[in-house]
Amino acid sequence: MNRTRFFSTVSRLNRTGYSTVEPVHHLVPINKAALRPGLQELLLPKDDIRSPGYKPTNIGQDRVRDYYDAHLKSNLMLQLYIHGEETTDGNKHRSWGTDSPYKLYRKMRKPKGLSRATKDIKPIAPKNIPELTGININLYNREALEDSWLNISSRLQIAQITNVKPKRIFNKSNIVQWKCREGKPCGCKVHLTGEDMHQFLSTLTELVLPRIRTFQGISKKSGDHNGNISFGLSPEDIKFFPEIENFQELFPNLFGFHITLQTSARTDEQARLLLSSLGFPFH
Amino acid sequence: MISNTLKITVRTKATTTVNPSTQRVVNQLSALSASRKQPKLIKLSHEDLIKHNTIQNAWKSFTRKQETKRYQQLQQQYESIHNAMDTLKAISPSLYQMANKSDENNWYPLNMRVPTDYPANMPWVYNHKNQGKA
Amino acid sequence: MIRNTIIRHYSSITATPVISSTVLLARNPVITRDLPAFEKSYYKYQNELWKRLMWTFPKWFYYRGGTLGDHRFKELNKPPVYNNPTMEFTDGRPEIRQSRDRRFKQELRLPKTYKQAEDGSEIVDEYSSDSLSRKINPNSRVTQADEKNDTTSLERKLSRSLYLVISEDNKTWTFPNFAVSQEHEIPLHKVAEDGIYNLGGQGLNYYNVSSKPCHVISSSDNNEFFIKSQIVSGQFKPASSTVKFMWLAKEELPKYLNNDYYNEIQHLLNDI
Repeated sequence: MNRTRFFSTVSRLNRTGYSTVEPVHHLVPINKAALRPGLQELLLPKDDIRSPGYKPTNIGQDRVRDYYDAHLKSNLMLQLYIHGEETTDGNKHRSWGTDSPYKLYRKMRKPKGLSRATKDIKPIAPKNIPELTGININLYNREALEDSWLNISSRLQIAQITNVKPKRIFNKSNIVQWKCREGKPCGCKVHLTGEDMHQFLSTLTELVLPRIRTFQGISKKSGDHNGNISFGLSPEDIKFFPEIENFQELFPNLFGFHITLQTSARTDEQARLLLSSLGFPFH
Repeated sequence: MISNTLKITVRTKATTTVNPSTQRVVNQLSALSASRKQPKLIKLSHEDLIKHNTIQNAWKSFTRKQETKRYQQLQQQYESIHNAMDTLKAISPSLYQMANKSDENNWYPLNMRVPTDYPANMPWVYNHKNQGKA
Repeated sequence: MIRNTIIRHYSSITATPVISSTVLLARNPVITRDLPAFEKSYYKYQNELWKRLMWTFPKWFYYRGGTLGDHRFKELNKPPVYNNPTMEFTDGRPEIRQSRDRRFKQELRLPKTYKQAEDGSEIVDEYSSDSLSRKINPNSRVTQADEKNDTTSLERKLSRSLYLVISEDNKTWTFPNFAVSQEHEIPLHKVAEDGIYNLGGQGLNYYNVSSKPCHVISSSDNNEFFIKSQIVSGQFKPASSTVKFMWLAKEELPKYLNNDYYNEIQHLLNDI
């Protein structure tokens, strides 16, 4: 018997209840269960008090922000001002040329000398005075590769210090001699902004760094040419955080971490001036 | 017959002992996780919601006014600097040359501090001897 | 007009200086600014919301069961009303999680590190004055200099920026101003530094903000450049007894300075 195949229109037409409307094939998969009315409150922005993710901001006077706004901003503008300065172009990715389609569509050439592009440096004006935009904390926990429970300790340690719940980070590659396996949790990271950032900053500059005997200051060589300065703290230094210091028996394993101070400064020199005004020493 | 098959189970405390280091990790994980620690969502009445939004709007307009004021002051200061440097360039090019450099390496001294909520026992340090200056 | 009233020269080497350098020597605030009532109440409102939405305090983490700390904690914090199924609650059933009613903010009272009397005041014993566990009593934000309104003191108005003004005859007050000599090419900020040092800054630790002037007041025969500087520690002691000085906040300056002059420079001064 000659059976018609499924996509034959003849058999469909013979069927009762055939719809002439062509089916819509969404290119983007839509999870229709998520559109149900019970989940509508999740669509509210997080600064709306009805949203489950609402977290109140401005819970108190922020002394670092006040100091920066009232005193440092005008000082920094005067210090970084250069009369008759013009925009210095940053080190950008370069074109290979336009004389052949191959060159046109080829991936751009790397910047001269550096592997990473830098931004244009514009003359200082009231609208582009450098400021601290965020603090990034990155803890790579090598010990967690063997004993995965140690990652809990490192996450709790960061959460205690910063008041923000950190995200886990995972290994990206397999390196046998370092016991790295792809997808294995190996530490945590957290990005601080606003009040949490200022709180962390004042704890660091007023309570922790002055008590580290070996600490001479952040290295002058540190920086990524784009105004972000990094330095590290060792496990012994972590003890000076007051959240850890008074509960040392609860944190038997301490881990050092890297701190990146992200600024809107265009060069590292400008960033260093800004950070020195906020109380960071350099050497 | 049924009573034989049904057994009354009384839930008691788990008697399994965990070693202290495991218990510490469990405690750490429970301190970190959100489970059973989250408060109830705030359900505001319509009137309360309007009150809340009014407060937030008042705050926004207050901060916006302050920001505008600060920005205008900075703008004035910027024009002042620009004007001063223009004048200096016209009057004395050599002084202008000496002045017109970036102070990127003029770092702030460490004893200049962010203001605190309450003063120290000695609000001001008086004893200072100048050595290198002038 | 302005020139006649305000420009004073403390070095009389050059007869008619073309350029002079004025120091805006400021004392930055030592304590945070006083909050206006609106800000204070807004912060309080937000703070209460924040406490209401806080996670429950992990008591079991800090005060392990059976320890002395746990005992003290339990004494101070009575458990909330338990959700008794046989009882009627007029204001809704309690929802107890981890001994917190999750409908409300958690009010915690932590065991104190010092001995406390019945009324909450600290019992002072002879060892407690410098021990780490003593009660922290913050110092007053109002100092003695505030009460006496001692304008020469650096401890007055701790929450404000103060600016140094000087006077030779106790009538006309100005910012310290120094002439720049024409023969020796000395940078403006150096002139200002040397001037302040000779005037009475031997015991003065200052931070010179920049080598660039932040303002100029030009007239037919004088150009007065303003140099920003900040006192870090030490104090200003005039070398000669004829020189009087004051540390004044922004809103006090118009009383002592020429009006036009003040309006010309008021945007350089910090409001806080």
